[in-house]
Order: sequence, then structure tokens, then C-alpha cells
Amino acid sequence: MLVTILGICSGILAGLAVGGGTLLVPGLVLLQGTPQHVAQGISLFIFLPTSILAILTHLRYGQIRWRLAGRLASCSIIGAFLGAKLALRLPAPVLRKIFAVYLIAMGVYQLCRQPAQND
Amino acid sequence: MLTLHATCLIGKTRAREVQPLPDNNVWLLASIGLVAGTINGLLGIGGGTILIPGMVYLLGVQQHQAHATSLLIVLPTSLISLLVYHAQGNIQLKPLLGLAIATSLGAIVGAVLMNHCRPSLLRKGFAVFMLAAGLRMLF
Repeated sequence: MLVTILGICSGILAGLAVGGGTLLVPGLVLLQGTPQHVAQGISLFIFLPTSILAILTHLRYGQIRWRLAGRLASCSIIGAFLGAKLALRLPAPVLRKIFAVYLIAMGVYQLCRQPAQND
Repeated sequence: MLTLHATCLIGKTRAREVQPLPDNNVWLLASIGLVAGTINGLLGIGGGTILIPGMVYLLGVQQHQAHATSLLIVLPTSLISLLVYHAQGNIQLKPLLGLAIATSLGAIVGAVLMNHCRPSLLRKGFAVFMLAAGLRMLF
């Protein structure tokens, strides 16, 4: 039940472009006691249907820049492979601390940044 | 770059006013992509948090376009990361179908909401949550 509520909330946040995975991973780790690696894997899996749905929604508005997406994606795929390999080599407590530092950094950034014009 | 940076410093950063850099700025593109991908694989989160500001502030893409485009990048990136995680036997996919449905429903609600409200306040609230959760996970 808790997991379902977490899922719905992260979906809403993802749809609002606020960050779904950033809720799901700490939610699973802190509330459910899910191991860090498993929580991250779950979050990645959840991105697939969520982003497909979001892309379908955005297709109607014609806001996607395809060539830019293709170029960035071809680099990010390489990063993803390396990052995932690295994550699996790290012990869970270390990975958890790295995740925590990233969360804090993003929190500070979101608190301090100027909202964009059409945000 | 310098002009762009100066514009940012003045504080009234408006994505629309920033002169768009050409899409073929190879090194900048490659760096943004690589960093976002590494974050995606290492931390299991989307990478939109890197991609969207990267596109808006460094490439001069409009916020809405950056958001939509980032989704298209996150999809294949997450798939690759997931395959690596899955190959190590870290995740069982079957029990996750219910969660996937719940999240998808939430995503539709969120996408509809986005066209009706400005999530600025939500962003600030969520930032506080990130700080709290981050500190809790650190200690």
C-alpha cells in the first residue's frame, strides 16, 4: 500500500517535471528498507512506462527537439553504461552516501535558483 | 559562453533572450549527455535534473522544449542502465508491474496538472524534502 502511494506520488512529480526518481529512491530506502541498489533499479524500471506516457503527451504539443535528443542520448547512453557498472561495484552504504550528497545538492539548487520564465 | 555567463550573473536569466548556441557544439553536448547518463546509471534517477538546466542555460533551449526533449533522452538511457542492473540480478521485474501502473497513472495526472498550474511552490517544497531525505540518508 505504502509502495503504491509512493508510486502515484512519484508519477505525479515526474509528470510535473519535478523529479520522480528523487522521491521514489529515498522513499523506498527510508520507508521500506529496500537495499540501495534494488531501489535504484526499481526507479530505472519505473522510468520506462512513465517516460513513454510523458513523451506521448508531449508529441501532441510538438515541443520535442529530435536531433538534439538524438545527439544527447547517444552520449548519455555511454554514461549510463559506465555509471551503472560503477554503481554495481560500489558497496551499498557508499552508494547511499553518494546519493544523499546528490539529493542535498539538488535540494539546495532548487531552493536557490531563479524560476525560468515559463516554468 | 562568456556572454551567456554574464547574462546569468545579472540575475534576470530568461531562456528566450539567451542567444541559442548551435546544436553542433560537440563538446558541450557530449559533456551534458555523458554527465546526465552517468548520474542516471550511478544513482538510478532520471538525469532530467542535469539535462534540463544543461539545455536551458548552456544550449539556450526553451524550458518547455528542454523538458520534452529530456524525456526522449531519459528513456533509452534508463533502458541501458536497467539492463546493466538486471544482468547482475539486482531486480525482479514481475512484482514491479503494480508499481509501474501506479506511477504511470500519477504521471498522467502530473502531466495534466502541469498545463494548469505553475509548480514553482511544489518545487520549493520538494527541495526541502530532498534536503531532509539527503541528510537522513547521509547519517
